[in-house]
Amino acid sequence: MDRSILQRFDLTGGEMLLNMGPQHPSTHGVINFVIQADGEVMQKAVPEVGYLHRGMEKIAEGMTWAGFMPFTDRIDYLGAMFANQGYAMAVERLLGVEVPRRAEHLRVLACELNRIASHLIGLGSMALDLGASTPFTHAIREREAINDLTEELCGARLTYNYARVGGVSHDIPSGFDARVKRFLDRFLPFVDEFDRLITRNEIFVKRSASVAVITAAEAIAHGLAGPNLRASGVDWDLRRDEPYSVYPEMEFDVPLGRGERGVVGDCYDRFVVRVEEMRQSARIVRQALGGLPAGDIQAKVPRKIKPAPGSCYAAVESARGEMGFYVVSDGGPEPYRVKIRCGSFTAMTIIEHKSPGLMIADLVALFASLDVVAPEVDR
Amino acid sequence: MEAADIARLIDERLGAGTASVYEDLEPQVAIAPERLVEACLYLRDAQELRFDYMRCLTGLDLPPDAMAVVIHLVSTVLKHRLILRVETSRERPSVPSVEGVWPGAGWFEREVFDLLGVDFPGNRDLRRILLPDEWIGHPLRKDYRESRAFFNIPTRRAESIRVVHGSVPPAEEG
Repeated sequence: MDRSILQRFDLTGGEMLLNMGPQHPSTHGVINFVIQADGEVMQKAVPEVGYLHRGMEKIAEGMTWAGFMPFTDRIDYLGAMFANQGYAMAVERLLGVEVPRRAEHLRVLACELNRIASHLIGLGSMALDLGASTPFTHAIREREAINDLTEELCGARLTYNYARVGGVSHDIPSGFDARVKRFLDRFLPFVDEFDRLITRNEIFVKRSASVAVITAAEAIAHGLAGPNLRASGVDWDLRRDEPYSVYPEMEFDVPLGRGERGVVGDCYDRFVVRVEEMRQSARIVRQALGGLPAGDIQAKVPRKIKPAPGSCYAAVESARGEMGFYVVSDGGPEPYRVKIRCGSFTAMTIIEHKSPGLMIADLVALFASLDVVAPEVDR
Repeated sequence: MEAADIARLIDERLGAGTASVYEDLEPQVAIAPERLVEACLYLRDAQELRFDYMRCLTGLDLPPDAMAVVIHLVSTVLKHRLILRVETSRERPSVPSVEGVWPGAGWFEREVFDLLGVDFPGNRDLRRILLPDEWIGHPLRKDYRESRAFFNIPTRRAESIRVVHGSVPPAEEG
């Protein structure tokens, strides 16, 4: 049987049809692009996803509300804290549970550390995809320090399973705040060094500025989220515009794409916005740690969670944009439906739209700049 | 703006009975499938609504005889949100595509088609997206039964694993 994706192509003009993937170093996971090209110039690139589909939403329907939490770690393996928090928030809204303030601070602290770690990988691998291999090693060195911190916090370096319905799993260990502060003191000079190393690197700028420009209207129409949306100049951040947790008490700026070396919404802007977001996250971590209130880290939640019938949607600003959970309860001990909305999924939808006329090498730049995580697309 | 106000505005624009409020934890605006695209264009373009951003589109199986498509909208300009609900029959579920209104909706509709079997007339690329082309059935339907094998690969273990909660097997003597 022919693959259904082939219906999308017309090769009567003698064009080439190429598979880029599913195993390809620059697709960051298992994603396939089927490319119709005339020489180096693409006429169309159609993404083919689903290779990493694990049926998370189906799995959720077969287990308890609380039991699904570890699975949320595996949605986006670079930003598990966000999925933890988003799912916990959705169930808390169904139950009407108020989370203790100390737990909210700890969630914000953990999420912002996770955002830095995730952006480090995103930026490092984008540089790597565009031919600069050193920045990746620097970025991953710093990320390693964050992994050590989260390991201290919750015992895990990647799949944290940190949030609980109504709180978090662990309080901070003794001396943790001093170690986080020490990390932050070292981290900000590192970002400046990273800027000198790659962000202001002329070769890198030439390679990414004015490439694959996504206008604000296109970004909104395709539902792009997070840094990708803001790089196109759309001033939209859930932490500020749909306030949740203790973000209203935090002071931070929302960096936007300015087109400083090319056009607003180009690959370079998507890179720069993430660099700036790391600095802002560091600010938030400091505030969350500084204002950490005393008290419980877990609200009283029934041992068997059985929300009243109803549905709600809770979304957090993850490293890849809006991560939303639409949860439906029928009053039973298992979720009736859990829908997971991710930033990577919508980011993929714009690739076919942007591909005509793009060079094949620039598809790598576009894809890397969108910072797509494959398991998040497929869930 | 509350869901009831928006339902009233849609009714004023497209005729009484087009929209109604569906009460839930977060109230939804129920719309008849045949008026969905018109209503969405109005919601996107009207100056007082400006729902330019479609954040989520998903489906629900509601046996014995209904299915629902739920669309979450937000306005990046006016910063308000709205949830649309379109109910369709379970026998032949079909909801007009809103890809023409929000291009990003196309893939969300493909996912609902793939996992729930809802048809979206007007979607220009309605194929399975997460599951392989050859998959049989739609897993998120409540009456879905997994096939015994996929390309002759059994989908179940010959013996099921027994999980014993809260007890540790006794250590062997010796």
